[in-house]
Amino acid sequence: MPWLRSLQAQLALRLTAVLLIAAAVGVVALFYESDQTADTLRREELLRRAEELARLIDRAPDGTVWVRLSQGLEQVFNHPGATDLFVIRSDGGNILATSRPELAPATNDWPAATAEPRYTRVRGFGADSREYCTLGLRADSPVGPVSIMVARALEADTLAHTVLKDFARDITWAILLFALAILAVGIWSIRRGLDPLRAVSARAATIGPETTGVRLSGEGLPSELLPLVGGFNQALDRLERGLILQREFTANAAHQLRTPLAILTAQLDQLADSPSVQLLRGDAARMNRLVEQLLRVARLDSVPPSQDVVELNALAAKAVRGLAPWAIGQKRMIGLDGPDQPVWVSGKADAVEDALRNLIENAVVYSPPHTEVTVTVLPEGAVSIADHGSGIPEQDRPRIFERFWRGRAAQGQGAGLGLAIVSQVAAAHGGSIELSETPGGGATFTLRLRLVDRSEKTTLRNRIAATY
Amino acid sequence: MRVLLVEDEARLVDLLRSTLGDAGFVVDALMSAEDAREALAVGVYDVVILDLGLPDGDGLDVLASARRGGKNMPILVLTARDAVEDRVRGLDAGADDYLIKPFATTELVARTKALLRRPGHALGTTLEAGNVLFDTIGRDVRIHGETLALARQELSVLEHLMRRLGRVVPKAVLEEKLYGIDDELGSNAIPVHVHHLRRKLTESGATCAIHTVRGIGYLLTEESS
Repeated sequence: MPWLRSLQAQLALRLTAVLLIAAAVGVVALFYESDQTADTLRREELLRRAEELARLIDRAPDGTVWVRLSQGLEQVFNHPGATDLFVIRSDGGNILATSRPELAPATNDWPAATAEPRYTRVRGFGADSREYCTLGLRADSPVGPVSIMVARALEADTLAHTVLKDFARDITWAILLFALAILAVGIWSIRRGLDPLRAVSARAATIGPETTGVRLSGEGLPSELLPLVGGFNQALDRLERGLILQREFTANAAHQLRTPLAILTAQLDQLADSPSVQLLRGDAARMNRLVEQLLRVARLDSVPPSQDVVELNALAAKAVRGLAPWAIGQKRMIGLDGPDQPVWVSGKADAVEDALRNLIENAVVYSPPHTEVTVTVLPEGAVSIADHGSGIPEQDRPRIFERFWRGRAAQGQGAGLGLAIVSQVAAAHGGSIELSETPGGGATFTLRLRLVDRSEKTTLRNRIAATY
Repeated sequence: MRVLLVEDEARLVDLLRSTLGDAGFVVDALMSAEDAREALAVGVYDVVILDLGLPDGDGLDVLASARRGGKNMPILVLTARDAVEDRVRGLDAGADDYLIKPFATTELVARTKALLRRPGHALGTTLEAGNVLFDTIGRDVRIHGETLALARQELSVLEHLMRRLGRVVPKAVLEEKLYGIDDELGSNAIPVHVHHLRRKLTESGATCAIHTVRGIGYLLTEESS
């Protein structure tokens, strides 16, 4: 049961159990204690009466023994329905006096009294089945040593019992209320204590390969959770160092490959044209491109997305200008359409230009000769690049943005990094990349970025003007 | 034309020396920043090709000291660095152009010539594209020795395309150059001039062609055939 793993549920369950046990033990102990107290009180009372009786025994002028009861004792023993009785015996066992002559013979088998008062309980005594507590005491009296037995029916204590029961009931309610209060306070404390954890969790959810710099804050957290937060942050530090090392390695490796590639390229340029030299030049060009793209990937990985603002018309024009000589050399045409108004989007100029270059290069490579690759800046903050090639098969579409995936490129062009770079740029800028079909056939890629509105634009523009 | 090549990669030096030699340059190759500084102080070069990553120092320092010494020949920087700030620093320090390694040697030659074609530099007076020769002083265009009759506006367009051979010249730049020649510069003045120029070049068998980059401008290329 998953809810059992919740601290709140566990605390509630355990606290409730502890409180119930404590309450039960308390009530039982209270009853036991009150019973004991009542017992002691009874014993003392019985002893007092026995001693009083001993003093009151007297011999009548006719020689019989009688007890001249005081007014208090009269009320105890001689009233209708009295629950107390006494029996006084001589040493020989003869009954000298009793308050209940009809019950006296039944006391014959009671233990003999001793000088030390002896307290017992007797059940099923006489005609009634009531439980009696009795006290026997052997004492000297004006008529010589006698055994005095006093007894009292337990029901006589009902009043005391009722009071006790009321008290127990009241205390049970009090304990229950107390338990609820403790539970409420406990649960509230846990809630309050763990509340900052929600904020920390939300922050942890933002950590990804592009945002390795994010660290959790222990602020407001209970001290028990600080080691976890600290450990987590340290683990992130180590992972980030690893990632940085890996990026640096990629960047360095790609960088180091450039000089030998430059030599190779130059050497190939020197060789006389032949079909195999042309193939080799193509291979070298592919390697150059791969190295370039690896560097772009490394650069994208290491540069956090910025809050810069770029103008798409200018950026697209720059990309088209840069690639036009190459595209024309490849016997393809290239054209730029765009709105007259500037289109400001949030983005890093370098990264967005890289993305556009990749899309344009792809489009040129997959276009048939003498067709135009059309770059269109859209006023809603997007750039579309349309080619008139064979398009992208339906089954390849979900995978084309993965790194090193080469569906269309299977014939030997490209490294499979271009579209991955584009999609990474889009993601890093909170934009998207879409694929659709060019009217009349071919692929159209649309890079959508976040449009910066007029008021925001003015301030950001000023900021940019100030930085340059 | 003398070119000073400062590059520490011996094999690249050999290759560039022969490529530049084929293109008609006389090449002095040096492999350290120190040598480069000395050579620049005393020698006379038409153009400098400078690698930034030298064993004994930063090429940018060589560049800056050359400029401080009053040298104004075009300097083309070669670099394996491509971070934006490096490019900006290079251009700030006085480089006229930069190429990122690895590059095609043809591109290097084209860029070098383009630098020399700038007004005031070695090739600034006679421009060449394929078999077309443009004498910028005589305002005279010749193909196979025959003068091509061009209007002033066409001459101006061709000159700027030739000065930036192999690169896209924005339409706006051409319009700016024509301002003052054409009093009534309509929105399609440039396309009309380019259209005439293109026809005239084709009719006279020029081995260069003007391409349109729709939405941006024009590009002059040399045709291989």
